[in-house]
Amino acid sequence: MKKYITKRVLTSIMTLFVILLVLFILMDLMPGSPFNDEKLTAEQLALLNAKYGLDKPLIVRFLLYVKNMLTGDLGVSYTINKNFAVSSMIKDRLGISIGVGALAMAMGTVFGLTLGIVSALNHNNWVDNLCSTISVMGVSIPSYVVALVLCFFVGYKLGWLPILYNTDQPFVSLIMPALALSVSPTANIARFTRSEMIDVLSSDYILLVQSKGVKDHKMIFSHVLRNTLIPVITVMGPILVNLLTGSSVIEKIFGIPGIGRLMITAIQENDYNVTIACAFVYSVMYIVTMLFVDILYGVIDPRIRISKEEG
Amino acid sequence: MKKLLTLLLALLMVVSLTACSGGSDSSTSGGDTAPASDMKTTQSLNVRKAISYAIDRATLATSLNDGSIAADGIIPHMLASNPETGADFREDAGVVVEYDAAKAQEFYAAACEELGKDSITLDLLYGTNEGDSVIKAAELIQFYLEEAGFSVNLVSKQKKERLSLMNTGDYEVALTRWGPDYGDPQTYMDLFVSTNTSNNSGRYNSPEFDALVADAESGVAASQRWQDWIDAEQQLVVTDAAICPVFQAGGAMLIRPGVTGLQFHSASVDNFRHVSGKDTITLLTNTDILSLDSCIATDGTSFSAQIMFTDGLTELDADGNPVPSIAESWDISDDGLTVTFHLRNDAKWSDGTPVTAADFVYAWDRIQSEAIASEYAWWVSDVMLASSYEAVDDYTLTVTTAMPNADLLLKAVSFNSSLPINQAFCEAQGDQYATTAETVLSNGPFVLDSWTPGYSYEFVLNENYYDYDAYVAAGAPSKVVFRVLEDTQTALMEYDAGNIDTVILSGEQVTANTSKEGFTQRLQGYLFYLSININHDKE
Repeated sequence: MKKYITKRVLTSIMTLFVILLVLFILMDLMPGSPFNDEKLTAEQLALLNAKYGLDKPLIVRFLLYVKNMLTGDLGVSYTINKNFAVSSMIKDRLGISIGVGALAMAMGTVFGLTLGIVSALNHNNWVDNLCSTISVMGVSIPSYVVALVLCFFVGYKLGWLPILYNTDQPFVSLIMPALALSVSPTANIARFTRSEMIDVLSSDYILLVQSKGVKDHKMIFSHVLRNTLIPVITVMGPILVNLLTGSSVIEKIFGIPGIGRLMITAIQENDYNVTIACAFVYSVMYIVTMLFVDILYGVIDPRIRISKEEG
Repeated sequence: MKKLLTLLLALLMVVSLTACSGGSDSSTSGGDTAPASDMKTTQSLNVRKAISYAIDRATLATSLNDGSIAADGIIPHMLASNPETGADFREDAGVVVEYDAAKAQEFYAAACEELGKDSITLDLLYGTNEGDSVIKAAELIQFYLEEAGFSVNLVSKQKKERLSLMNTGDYEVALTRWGPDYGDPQTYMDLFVSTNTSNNSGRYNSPEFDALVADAESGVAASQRWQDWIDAEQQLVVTDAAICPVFQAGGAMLIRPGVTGLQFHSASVDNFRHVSGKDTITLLTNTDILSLDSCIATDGTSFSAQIMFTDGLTELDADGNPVPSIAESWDISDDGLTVTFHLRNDAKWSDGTPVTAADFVYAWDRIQSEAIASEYAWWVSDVMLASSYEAVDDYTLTVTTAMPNADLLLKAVSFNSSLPINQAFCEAQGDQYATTAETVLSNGPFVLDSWTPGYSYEFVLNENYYDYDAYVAAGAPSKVVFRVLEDTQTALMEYDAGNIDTVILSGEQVTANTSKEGFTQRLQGYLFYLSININHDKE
């Protein structure tokens, strides 16, 4: 297991390096410049490019960036918060995005698993139909619609929760955004859980367990769920990364200073350092989560652990 | 076999495509065909006149539904007033562009004949992330041009790409805008002189126009200068139809009844420091501060934030006239070339040091330094027209200009690019200067208390301010919060719920809210016009 993890970590670092290089090349190919003001003269533009070292060749900029990055310096923002250190921009916003994302993931997992299990146990009766309808709706309704409906009824009409994100009451004001974000993961997890669980329930070994007279709840928790969870966890990995890296639309609606909005703005404004840093953070989180998911497989299913150790 | 066939087909398509594009290239740039087809479409005055007559500006502006009005010329309303009579520039210059569908069609027919074509196609470039009104306006312009006979291809790009295409001359007609830097027609006219390769994207080149601008800027009498601007506009917009003014942007908002003192300036920075009516006032802003550094900022939000906590030599009153601020008074020399500012001696920075003439000298040197690479580096030399400036003593500052410019100078020194900076503090902060609330000093009625990027920035009333008592007497709030919020729908809910005191309305929200108390429409300085690429060959 140790060997496996070391190998995975090393390949991950290599992958990140390649991602960084690709990002640099893509940035360079993006049309326009970070300095997009109608009022900018050609001479001023040249001065600005020189000031930020953008007049240097791509490879030099890349190597400088990597060198600085190893010391924790991600450069400064060119347009969004001029001359502001990107590392502190990311740090401030990532925490908030992770907060909303984690809350949404928790909600999605709890609601999704519950819906899925209830559906599977009531296979093909009205409860199942109701749960499936909810799941289909969850997949098809975009999160911003849910967000606006929540804002209007729960926030504005009823006044139960604050409409906007508020740093004075972060948890309470993040409930609505998290709820809106959790709709799609809830539906996805529910559908997956349902179909996997139906498969497992109709398998031979469950028949054996049942014939041995094992009590229903014990059978479900120690036999059915365990086998159901493996594929479910596979889908949960990417969902989690998506949630943690913030949703631009939800952040815009609720006025949350998160990393999702930052990244979109950075791309639109050609704020190179911010875009690269955001995309890089996204990649790191993705790779770490996938690594974590792989390790989790082993915990849930010893067969995978053994085959990996052999490999 | 199937694969091979597909490959062959693909190859054939590629070859035919290149042949096609090659063919059309040669037809537009070909040398020995008839001279008419040698001409770029937009080089035809008939085409440009047809464009200008084709657009029903009044209906277009009304459709935007946000208080925008038709452009009557390239100089917006409420930008500058006649130095003698006080009349607005637009009153004196009149409506120089008009909608006339019949004339548009006539010019279009003439253009077709001149170019030897059956129909003329125009590419209209516009930005997709420059606000809903720009997208709507582009579509309406397309409609009106097609009414006149043109075929119009809409070319939608992100703003950064639009600007880069315009800079390299890779466009035909583009919807663009200009916001005035100061209340004088010069801020617009300078854009179109032949030597300005940065802003004159269409490479309009008219000796007559250049001469009028040069005359206006040569230190002639104020009335002559005024007339020069009127003539220059006529030359640019009517005689040569080199650009096509479309609309002057408006803005609709709700202001909570009881909250007063928000000053909106169409020719300068919006001034919110005189707001009153509650103890804590929360104002909505749909963009965040881009920079707290008065030498670096280029946007209205940052400018408005900076003047909350920074006093300059003068301040503009509600009507846009300069009134004393750090400068208690000023003398203008008889030849009009030297202005001596007498600074008050009780103004202090928030670290306790006094505000002196040296702070202005430092700021003006700094904004012009290459190390800062300020986008407003030209402010001191081109707008203030300062050939030299000197701190005679701590509280006396003289500015010498190359030609008499006192009227404009007194307004110009109220602007952010002329605000003072405390040298010792600025240098101690180094690269970090003005990146956070802690790394910037205040000398104004409010102190910047906190700034959470992307979320909010908050000001508290400055107890050490020299005019503190007057502000308290005028009912100044103890705290002014600016909440950053991009989404107009949740912003309106938040306003209706009573949590914020102003909200900016989008075009589609206006109709439902016009009857509400506190509904306000303002005219902005931004003038949207069609830049027409006349002579700018693709680089």
